[in-house]
Parts: sequence; C-alpha cells; structure tokens
Amino acid sequence: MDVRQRQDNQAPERDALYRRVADEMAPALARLAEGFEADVHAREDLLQDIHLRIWKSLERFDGAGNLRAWAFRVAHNTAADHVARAVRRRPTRPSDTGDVEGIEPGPGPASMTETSARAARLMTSIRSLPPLDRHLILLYLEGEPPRSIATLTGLSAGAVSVRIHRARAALTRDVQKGEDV
Amino acid sequence: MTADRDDDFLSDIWKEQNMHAQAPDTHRLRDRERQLEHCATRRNRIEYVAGGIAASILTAAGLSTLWDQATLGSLVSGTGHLAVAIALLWVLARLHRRQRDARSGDPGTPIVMHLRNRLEAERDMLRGAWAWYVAPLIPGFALIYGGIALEPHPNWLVFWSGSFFTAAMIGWIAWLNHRAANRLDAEIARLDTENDGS
Repeated sequence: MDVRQRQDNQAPERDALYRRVADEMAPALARLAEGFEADVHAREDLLQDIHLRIWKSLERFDGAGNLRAWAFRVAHNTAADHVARAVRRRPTRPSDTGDVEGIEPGPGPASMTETSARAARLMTSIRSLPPLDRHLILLYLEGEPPRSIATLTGLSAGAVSVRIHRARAALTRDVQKGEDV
Repeated sequence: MTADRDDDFLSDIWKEQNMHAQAPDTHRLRDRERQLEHCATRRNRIEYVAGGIAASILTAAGLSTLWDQATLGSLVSGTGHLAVAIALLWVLARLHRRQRDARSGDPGTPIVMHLRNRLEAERDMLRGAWAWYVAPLIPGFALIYGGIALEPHPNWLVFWSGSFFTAAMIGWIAWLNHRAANRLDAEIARLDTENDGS
C-alpha cells in the first residue's frame, strides 16, 4: 500500500478527529493567531495554516494520546515557524523578538467598548513578549495547567511557573497602564 | 495586585475574545493544501527552468568557444564555461534534494525543541551553503578567467574587472551566509539560556 492510498484510507478518521479539534478549539486557535500576528490578513493566513497543519498532522496522531495537547503543539509550532519566517524577512532588526508588525486590527478607540479596548491592549502586550514567553502565556490563558505546559513546550515545570509569573505581572501592568491613560 | 487577582483580571479579558471563531471545513483545507502544493511546484519549476536556461547558455557559449578558436586560452575558457554549467546543474539537484527532504519532521515535537531544531537546520544550511552552493562554481570561474589570461593578447581589463567582480560577489554571498549563521547561533544560545536560566 503506497503513501497516498494509506492517506486516503485514513481520511475519514482524520476528518472526524479534525472536526473534534475544530469544534473544541477554534476560538483558542483564533486567539493564538492573534497573539502572534498583528496584521489582519497575515493573521488570517496564519490561522488557515494552523488548521491545515493540524488536519495534516492528524494522519500521524496516535489515538491513545491527548488530542487537545497534540493540536496545541502543532498550532504553536506553526506559529513559531511563522515568527521565524517573519524575522528572516526583516534581517535589519536582529534584536527583534519576533513580533510581526502590521496594521493593528479592530475598531478605533472611540468605537471600542472598554472590554474590547482592554482585550486589544492585552493582545498588543502579549505580542511584545519574547516568543517563548508568548507561547507560555497563551497556553496559560487557555487554561492549560503548568505541568501540561511543561510537557507541551519541553521546559521544566519550574521554568514554566517562573516565566508565566513574570509574563503575567508584565501583562497586568501594561493593560492597567493603558486604562490609566 | 496579587497573583490570583492577576489571574482573574487577565483570564476575564482573555475569555471575552474570539468566542465565535469558525474553523474551516475539511473541503477548504483540502483546497488550501492543493493550492500550496501548486504554488510550491510552480516556484520550484521556475527555479529549475531558470537554472536550466543559464546552464544551456553557458554550455552553448563553452562549446562555441571550444569549436571556433583553437588557442590554449579558448580551450581553457570554454572548459570553464562547461564546468560552471555542470556546477549549476549540480547545485539545482542539491536544492531539489534538500527541498524534498525538508518536508519530513514530527509535527508534535515539543515547542522549544521544534524552535531549536528549526534554528539549527537553518544555521547548518547557511554554514554549508559555501560548500554546496558557492564552491562548485569556483573552478569554472577560475578556468574562464585563466583562459582570458592565456590568450595570445589578453584583455587585462576584462580579466581584472571580471575576476574582481566575481571574487567580490562570491565573497559577499559567503559573508552574508556567515553573518546569518552567526545570528542564528546567537538565537540558539539565547533560547538555551532562556530555557536553563529562567
């Protein structure tokens, strides 16, 4: 049986797994894309890539594993590749931490509710974090426990806790500073 | 603000966003997969055609130099053109093999390892670019300019300006790759430091 035939045989099973991921995780994946990409068109592209890579990766998913963790890992790796490509495209700024500049999406301040303004500030603040911290805080905000984040990232549980603690404090400070202005 | 209050504050804002995001269905994903494959195939084909045209022109130039004038200089120069054409085809074949091999990889690798693997692969490719992309062209260019110098009445202006320009281009490409590889090394070191010393 060649590779293509095997893929065709697995397609219904893979599609069913993907639908489970999509039903459960579509909002989380959209937030992940927003946490890594400010430009609205590039973000839509990133989100499509995330879904596509998850769908393709499910060919290799061992059914016994945790589907949510698998999907998060593939999604975050896709976002990491996106940042790496963006940094390569702009070699004149080596100190860049990986934030992808672009048009800030969403309505202007006057038409924003306080909630959406705070959410926009939070996203901007997340995008200013170093890429590794961005992965951690995005997983954390999605409700993943530190031990699961450690497994997903490959960091120690201690390192995860310390970094999340720091990032959380920085984000809170940034968002509140915006409210005071 | 305490850690718990930070949690509530950020989580409340976070959960208000993108609650109604729609995922693409599998038909759209299949279409996108086909589109991406089509783009990659087209881009590769353009590269191969451009490389093939350049190799053909160099081969024609080399053969006509060998055929028309039977001086030592033209013999050496014609051989140089053929050597550059062969090197170009070899580089294209290497490029094709690298692109084919780059498609594999475990999609479920832990994020930090994935980042590190990617940086290392790019760094190694840049470090190796000298050997597989630049070096194969050097003997051919050396023969071409050697042939000019061996002519009975050498055109020294062409010899020196051509040699200088070619050497400068090769040196510049090598320097750019070296600099980019060093940057990636720094990124890898920073990632390791962040991982160890957080």
